[in-house]
Amino acid sequence: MALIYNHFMYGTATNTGKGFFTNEDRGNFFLRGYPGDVWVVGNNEKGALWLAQKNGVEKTKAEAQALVTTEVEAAQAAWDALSDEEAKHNGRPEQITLP
Amino acid sequence: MATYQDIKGLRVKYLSADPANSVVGEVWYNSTTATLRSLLPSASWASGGALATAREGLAGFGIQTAAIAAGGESPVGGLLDSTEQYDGSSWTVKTGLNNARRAIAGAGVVTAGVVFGGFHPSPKDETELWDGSSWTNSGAMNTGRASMAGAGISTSALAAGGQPGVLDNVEAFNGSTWTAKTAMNTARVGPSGAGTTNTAVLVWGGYTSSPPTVISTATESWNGTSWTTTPATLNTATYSAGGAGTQAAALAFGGDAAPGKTNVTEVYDGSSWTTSPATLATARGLASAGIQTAALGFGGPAPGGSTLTEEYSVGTSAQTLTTS
Repeated sequence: MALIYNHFMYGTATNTGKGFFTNEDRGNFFLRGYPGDVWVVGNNEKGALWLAQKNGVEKTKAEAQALVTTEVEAAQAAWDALSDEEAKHNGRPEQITLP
Repeated sequence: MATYQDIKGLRVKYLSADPANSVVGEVWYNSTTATLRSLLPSASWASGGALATAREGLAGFGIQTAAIAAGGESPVGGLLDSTEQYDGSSWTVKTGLNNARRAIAGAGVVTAGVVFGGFHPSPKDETELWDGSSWTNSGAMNTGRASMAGAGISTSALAAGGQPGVLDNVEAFNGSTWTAKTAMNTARVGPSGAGTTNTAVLVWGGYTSSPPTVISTATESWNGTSWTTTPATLNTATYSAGGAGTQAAALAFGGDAAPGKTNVTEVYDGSSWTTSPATLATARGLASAGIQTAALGFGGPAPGGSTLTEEYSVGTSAQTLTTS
């Protein structure tokens, strides 16, 4: 059976502002933020350590994707409720697929 | 082939750890990691303090350590008049705009700025001056508009493009009145701009039609009299992107691309755009401030209005040398 290596870890963590991720962090591991306080980090020692230090809660990719999708769908519902005049100046939020 | 010793007059140091006081370009061998290392320039985005009010479509101006965020739209509160000031680590709420609006543009510094245009809900011609503590209404634009590029300072600002429709109109502000100027070569909505006066501005990106949304990579340079489409084009076509810097040294980051939003950062050196290895942590269209080597990006849709702030810095870091 072939082993599948996951290049990314998934989790939720609250962005506390300055110092939440640093220039050094960005040089050390992959980092991306998504709606729902979802973070995707490189699946390596430094990425895992960062998520732990931020009191992050590790998620499976499916769990993380569900959180993002829920946020996007809520934003889409809000957009759908806009008047035509308001909506024409704003793009409808697009679905986001996690890496 | 020349060796390192031939070029530098020194032999490559054999060290058990990276040196604490290396200089840019210095090369050493790290025996612990078994890698050839060097101190090289590097750029990256780090988190900054969060905005008090989540929003998109806001105006930004200033520098990385002293910036203003004004107006925009909250997904739960509608159009915003709120103003916040950044000090390099956190945002402080200041006196609100006289007119709440979104998709506005701004120019200036934290003690003397200007915001103009925007929707509330139709495109407006309103201009407000910021003196460091409050807003004062000033001369109206000739063409009410939103989603335009803004650049310059409060006494010498430029507005280019925007909507309704797809505008190529350009206006220059002298601190009290707006004067129509030569139109851009490419009409566009949501372009970005950089420049320190209304006679030396770079404008790039934006969309040229919608629907379907056609996003432009075109870059134009303004000399106070005419526009020149530069040979340089963006590597990633965007609109509602952040912009910082000057006409000859600009930074473009984030924005709406096709499809979705991008976290790409591009550097303009006066002749071409180069994609930086640095990327925003969160892809989005956003407001901006700063210069090419020290920029600030803040707000944006998340998808429902963002408090996120990111700081772009160019520094140095020890990196492993590879053959690729």
